[in-house]
Amino acid sequence: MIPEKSRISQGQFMFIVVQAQVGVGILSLPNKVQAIAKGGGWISVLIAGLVIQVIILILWALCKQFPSDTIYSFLPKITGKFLGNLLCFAYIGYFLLSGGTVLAKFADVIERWVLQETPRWALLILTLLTCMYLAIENLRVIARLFVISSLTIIVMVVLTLMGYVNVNFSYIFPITEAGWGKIVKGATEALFPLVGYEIILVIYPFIEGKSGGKLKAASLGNMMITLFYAFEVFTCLIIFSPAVMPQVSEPLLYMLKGFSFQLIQRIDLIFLSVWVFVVSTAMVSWIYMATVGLGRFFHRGEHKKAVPYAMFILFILAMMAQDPSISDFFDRMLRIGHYTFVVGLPLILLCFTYLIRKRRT
Amino acid sequence: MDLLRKLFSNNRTEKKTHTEMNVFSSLDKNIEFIENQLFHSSDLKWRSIRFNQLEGLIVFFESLTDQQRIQNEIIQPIEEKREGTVDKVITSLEITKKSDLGEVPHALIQGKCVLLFEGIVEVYVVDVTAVYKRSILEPENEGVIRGAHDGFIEHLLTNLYLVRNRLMNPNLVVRYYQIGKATNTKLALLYMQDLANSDLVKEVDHRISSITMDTIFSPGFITELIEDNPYSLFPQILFTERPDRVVAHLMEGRVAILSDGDPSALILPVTFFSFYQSPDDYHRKWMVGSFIRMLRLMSFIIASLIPALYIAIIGFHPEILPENLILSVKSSIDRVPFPPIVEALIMQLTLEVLREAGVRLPSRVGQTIGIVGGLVIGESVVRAGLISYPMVIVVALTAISSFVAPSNEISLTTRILGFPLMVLSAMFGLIGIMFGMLFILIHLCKLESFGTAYFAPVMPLRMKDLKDTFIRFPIWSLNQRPHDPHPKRLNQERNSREWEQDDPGKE
Repeated sequence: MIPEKSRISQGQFMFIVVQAQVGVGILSLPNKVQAIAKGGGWISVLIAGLVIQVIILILWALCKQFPSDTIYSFLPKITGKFLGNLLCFAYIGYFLLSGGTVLAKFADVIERWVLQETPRWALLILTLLTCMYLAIENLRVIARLFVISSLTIIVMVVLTLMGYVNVNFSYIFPITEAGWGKIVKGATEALFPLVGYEIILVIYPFIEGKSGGKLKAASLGNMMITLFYAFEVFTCLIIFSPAVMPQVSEPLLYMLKGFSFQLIQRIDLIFLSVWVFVVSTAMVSWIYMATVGLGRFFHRGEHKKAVPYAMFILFILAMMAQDPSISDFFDRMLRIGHYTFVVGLPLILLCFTYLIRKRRT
Repeated sequence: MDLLRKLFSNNRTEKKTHTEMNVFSSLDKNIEFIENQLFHSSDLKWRSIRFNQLEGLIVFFESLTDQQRIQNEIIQPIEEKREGTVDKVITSLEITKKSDLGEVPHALIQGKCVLLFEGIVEVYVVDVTAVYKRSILEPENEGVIRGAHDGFIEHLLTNLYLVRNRLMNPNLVVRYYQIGKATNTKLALLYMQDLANSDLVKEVDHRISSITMDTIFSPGFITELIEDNPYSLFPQILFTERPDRVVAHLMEGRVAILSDGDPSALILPVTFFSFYQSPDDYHRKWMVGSFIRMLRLMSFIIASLIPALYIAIIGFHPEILPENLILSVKSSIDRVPFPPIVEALIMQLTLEVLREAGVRLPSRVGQTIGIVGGLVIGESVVRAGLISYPMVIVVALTAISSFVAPSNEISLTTRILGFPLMVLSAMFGLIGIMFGMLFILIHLCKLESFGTAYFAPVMPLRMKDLKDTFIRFPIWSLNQRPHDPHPKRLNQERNSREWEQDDPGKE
């Protein structure tokens, strides 16, 4: 059913979750949560991680009912053919839009920080071609690269650690300055940079081993990323005073810009270069999620053939998002999409399958 | 589609035109037939003899046979005994009877001689092949400081001797192949029966047998015909002229191919990191060996990345360097009329030209090239203001570090990899380099040769095998063989330093 070539181990699955979750959001996250939750921003991130853990549990419970089906093949089984296929296309659209937004935000940051004069389309094409080269491969090859590129997270942590030479812990106190209500509200903000764990819906049947192990791997991956994000946010909060923070849209990069080694003066550039790896892998995971669906509908299961035009769609989306109003619109769409497709719908489907099972027995 | 496929496929089967032909009873007819089959070639010779009162002939190629052996092993015994059975009189090791005259020309071109007698419808084929071979020397391009100094030569049997002599084990299997319809090149496939994965051996056997080319004159042909990804820049089969290296790889469960007429052995499947291992590593202390190996891997990164990094920093992000450094670099660059990418391309190409010229030229002229290259190009080009000093340093660094690799194939690959990276960095700066590296990394993790991931044990990650990858752990800690060729037995040692526990601990 699932070819030997695309099976992956649970360890690889964990790193896929890690790589799918780390994306463009990390650069601006400290700024956004600070605006709402003040000094307690890092707690917001932890809460968001917990919420995601619950969502992962729901997704896992849903996938467990269909151990050899991706979301595209079990949706029609639950809701009937017509509605199921319609929902599948909605999912594909959601995945493509997510990928397009990631790409657009990536291009924005690169244009702002490194390549001010390079035309946007050139950068997009370079990024997309590289991602395409990986996305056309089977899952095993993708997993191999994801495992290795997770090393970049360690590099990023080390680079951030250098910030600790001049910190001021008093910036975060009092922790509950904004009140618990605001901290929880900040958590909703922190939820979006952490998306990507949806990949479990698509790759669940490709993972070897028992379902318990799969849940463990996904949770572990999520935990690592939540801690990593919380760490980054925490570092930013103790480095920038609450007064400065609102003016800094990418606090992590500003922070690194301030430091220098003997030989290397601009650490933010090094950080951005490493970040390229992370963003590309996140993008590949979105593309993979979408093309598996497209491949199932139009190419008899060969996701590879769907990659080129999926790339083209991403390119168009990222070009459109150049306009701030459109990119805001995309963001709002994604928020709604996330709540409906990743939280709401799976929950409903899960109840539904349970009911069907019960009625049958 | 079918028509196209037919046009481009080279799977046309040819039937061998071999007709069976009985040996004539008349000598003259026989010799006439043989002469016609070999088109009256001038080096085909014969000599008449008399045995059992029968007229006979010895036919042979004077260019292929050892005439001393014909004299000692055939003519002399026959002249002395004068009668008896031929098999008993002739003292040669290999003697066969044939009744098919059609096979005789084939036997002759393999360096055998043929005995024919009047009135007898059988021929005797005696092996008297001449062997001219050079002595066993250390391979020039794979020298080591410590360790064995013998190397393969162009004679297959000698090479097999060198391997078997080091690996006295009944499990070492040699399989002969004859490929190339016109050249009939002899190949030997070597593997350890109890280690090499049987699927691997079967696959290699299958791929070698499907070669239908008529000329095979170098192992390069074989690699190109059997490797998995001919469109990749990375070498996927390791060439070596060192028997100790072959033995080490055989003992890891890999397969070696030796061919007659060439001193290089092919080892497969190999990983990227095999190209950076050298027998030297295992003769030094493990810490020193690890240091040198790290140095080599570092040189891979330097050789492929440094020119690109230089271009990116100068062209896009000079602020990454400290101020006083950038001032001194800039002052040298400002006099140069070209952008850094042009500078780099000119210098890299010059370097490649010099290297290629150095290979072709005899050593006496080679010195001149050294002077022309080093002094004239290196010094004058800067004086004339065409190239900046930092660029010369960068290119020199690239060249030297690319030559650190113990395998010539990978060193070329590294330098060629530098070119696309340079172009990318000239277009997108550091970000371009990162995407280039990502692309290379993706490519490396896609590559598979004979069922082995090329970038193992890093992708897919296997911690145990990392012991002998970037650094070399002490030999007594390498309890398992590398996993990448899927050997039949993983364990290779268990506690060889057991004596430590036996020590009663006397002061």
